[in-house]
Amino acid sequence: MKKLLTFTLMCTMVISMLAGCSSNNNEPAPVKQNSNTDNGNTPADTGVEEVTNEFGWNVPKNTLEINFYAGQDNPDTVKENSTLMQQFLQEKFNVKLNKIVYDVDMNEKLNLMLASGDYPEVITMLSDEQAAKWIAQGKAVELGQYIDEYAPNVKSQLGDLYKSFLDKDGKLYTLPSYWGILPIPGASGHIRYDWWTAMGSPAFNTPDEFYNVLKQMQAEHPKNSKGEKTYALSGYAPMYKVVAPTLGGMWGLQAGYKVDKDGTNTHWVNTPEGLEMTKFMNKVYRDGMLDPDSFINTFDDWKAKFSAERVMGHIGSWWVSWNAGHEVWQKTNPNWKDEERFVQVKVKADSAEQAKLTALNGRGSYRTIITDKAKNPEEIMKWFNFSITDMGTRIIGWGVPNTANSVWTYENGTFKWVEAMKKAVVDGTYDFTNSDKLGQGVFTLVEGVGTMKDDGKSTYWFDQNFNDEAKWKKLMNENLKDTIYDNTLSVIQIPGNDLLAVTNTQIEEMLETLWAKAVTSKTEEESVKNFNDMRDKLNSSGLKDIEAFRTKENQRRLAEW
Amino acid sequence: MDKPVVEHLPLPAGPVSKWARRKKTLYRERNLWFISLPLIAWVIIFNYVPMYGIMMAFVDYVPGKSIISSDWAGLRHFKAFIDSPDFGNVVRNTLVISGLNILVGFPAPIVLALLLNELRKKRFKQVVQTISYLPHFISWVVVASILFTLLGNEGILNDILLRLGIIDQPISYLGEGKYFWGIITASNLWKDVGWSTIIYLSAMAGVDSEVYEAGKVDGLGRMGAMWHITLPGVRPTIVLLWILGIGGILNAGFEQQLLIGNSQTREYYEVIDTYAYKYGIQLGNYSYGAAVGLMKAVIGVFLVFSANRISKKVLDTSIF
Repeated sequence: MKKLLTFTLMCTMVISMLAGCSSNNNEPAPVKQNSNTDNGNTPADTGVEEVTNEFGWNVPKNTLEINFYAGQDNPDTVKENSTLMQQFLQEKFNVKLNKIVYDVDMNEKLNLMLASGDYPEVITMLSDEQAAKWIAQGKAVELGQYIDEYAPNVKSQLGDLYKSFLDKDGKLYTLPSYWGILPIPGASGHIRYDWWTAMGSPAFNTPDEFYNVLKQMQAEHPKNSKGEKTYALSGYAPMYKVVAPTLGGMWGLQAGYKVDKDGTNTHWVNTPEGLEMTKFMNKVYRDGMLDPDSFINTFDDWKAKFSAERVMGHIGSWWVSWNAGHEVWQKTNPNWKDEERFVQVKVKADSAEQAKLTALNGRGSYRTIITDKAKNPEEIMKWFNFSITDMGTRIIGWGVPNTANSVWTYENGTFKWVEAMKKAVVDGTYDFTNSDKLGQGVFTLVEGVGTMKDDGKSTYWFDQNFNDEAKWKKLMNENLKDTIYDNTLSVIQIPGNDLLAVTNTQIEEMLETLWAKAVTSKTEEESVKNFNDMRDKLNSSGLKDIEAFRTKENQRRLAEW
Repeated sequence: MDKPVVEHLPLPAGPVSKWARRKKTLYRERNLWFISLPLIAWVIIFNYVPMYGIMMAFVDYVPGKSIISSDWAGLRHFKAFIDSPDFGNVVRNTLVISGLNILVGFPAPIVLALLLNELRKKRFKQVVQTISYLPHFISWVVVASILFTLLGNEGILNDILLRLGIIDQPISYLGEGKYFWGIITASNLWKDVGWSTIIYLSAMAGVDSEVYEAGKVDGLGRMGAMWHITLPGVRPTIVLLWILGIGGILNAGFEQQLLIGNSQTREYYEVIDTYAYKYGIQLGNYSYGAAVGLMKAVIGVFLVFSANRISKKVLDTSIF
């Protein structure tokens, strides 16, 4: 009896354990592209287009369903923001777009998808290096074969850029998630406007003059209303990405590199301009004007200080001082005045020919691919063909039209702005949560963000359509009009499977650490020494190889594009 | 004619007899082996079978392809790690942080356990023990935020020192590398000293009370009893934990480094595990990460065997 009991117990444990280890069929479930039918999705099934809707889309007989992964985000928020637009597209276009996001690092998730074979038919927001991995694995569909028949608009809209997406064999695997150039500023110096005007609006042009104005301003506002110490400048990690490219632009560098006419790329640490900008930051630090936590702050830490009126200047993206400044104050302070805000300003070193503060990239930095899970890539290409048109871009960029909260209406082939929404943008009182609810940008797959061709003025970004009328945007554009440049040829990524990508990450991490050391040095001599040490260390760690890689690629582009 | 009783004949000497003896023992203990089978299967399936993944360190693995069909890389990833500019710092930080943890964190619970063992009021002893265990249950995320509140540029400590006039500028305790090792060691100690006393206290409870009585008769005081009876009584436990601690010397921590460290202290906080995570998992260079991890594991095994051998020779105590 005892033996029987032991044997039974043992068998039960082994079987139950092995049952848990049973092999899982790794074949992914077939991705459904057509929710109304369970049969296959041949072009003949879905391609019967019966009606052309008011937006110019040939409505398919059966619903075209496209699932696409779009990187890291909060799934609940995305679902909430997708609802209205999803309903609209289904009702008017018979197209169902399902945006898939996970609150997990995109790189890790993509690798997991590749390893498990569980991924949807479209992936967007990929970097070039991420896309290259999918192409190398044979998981990305060659799109060039469909262009002429199903998506001619892609070619005509992209124009000269089209060929830059072809590989060396002339194959097309990726399309830009965003593309095109909108000549508006993206980064600059920032200064607290009401405090500056209260000082008599002293003029400044060079970094040293900017420093002097900020110093005087800090002297006049040493503490905020809660008695907390204030700083002339602050920042958040990683500073080599957040501050250094714009700061270098004040000395004429292009996104952290000196780019010669022949395409030679030199990293800022190997330039005299790099030393000058480091000395500038060190001076700000030594005078107690730089937040000592600048290299440690997260964006939220920085925003908390910024919103608490503890910072009076900034160097970097234009929108952050809006987001952390008056957009917070106008909600929290009933007595807020319009002048209580930051303005974006040009700062240019005397030695620079031009301040290069905003680098534009016509090709965009993100890519969309159709994966081998797509049963009907032709149908997806048809959607891309519509989405990339000016009308498609309006719908995707501006959100659902013709509802109570819409920002635009579309009737009888004519679009109009909703005046109340336009006014709110012009006045700077627009609530951007409304944009989220309308699904603005939520289904972006191949959108042009430059100026639309049909009217020569509209643009994908709803709030950028009234820059000439919006007082503060107009001021910003005027201040920064000659600080914008086309950097398309010099936006170069190192392929992820190249060992140089590891070197590049090491260099970036070391750069942040060593630049922090140079900036926070106690004396200028020490700062210069630490800068030189940084330069030598980075060069011996492979920075020269990265410069060589970039130069070669830049020169290839100059010759071929 | 009687049938010869072969099984009762003495077994021949030599290796055959040894094998037969083993078979006999196995048969005698068959019930125990049967019960152990699921666990043995568990260990094989979950601990040994996945080890084929070690292969990843020797190939250029790309997610989506099988390890076997990946291109052979040999020792290239190991070489790349050794040649990397971070190698020296990463190994130094790992050894220093682990060394400090052993140097400070190993004797501290023994001392605390000895002190707790001497407490006579049971209720008080229980309260002190419970309080000392509590930090163990606090996550590193919370510990990191406590540290930022205490030691940040605008933290409590700087505030006090500024108010007392001891300093005129805040000290960036969390932003200067020179403080990092001390902070991480102190945090580890605070978090785990109480928890680590449990095993020593249970070992101390096992020391025969008659030995203490005999010690008293021989004139030993409390300190003497501690030194001559309690400590020798728990020596096997101390040696066991020391050997295991040496084996884990390359486990210098992970989440505490990522949470408390920052770009300004990177030269002092980056350890092998955080490095393997960043360059292996986050960058998607799994082969490189596997090579770094494997190198660490091999050194760890070597250290355990060495510590065990030294302990066997010097203290006549070992774990295998």
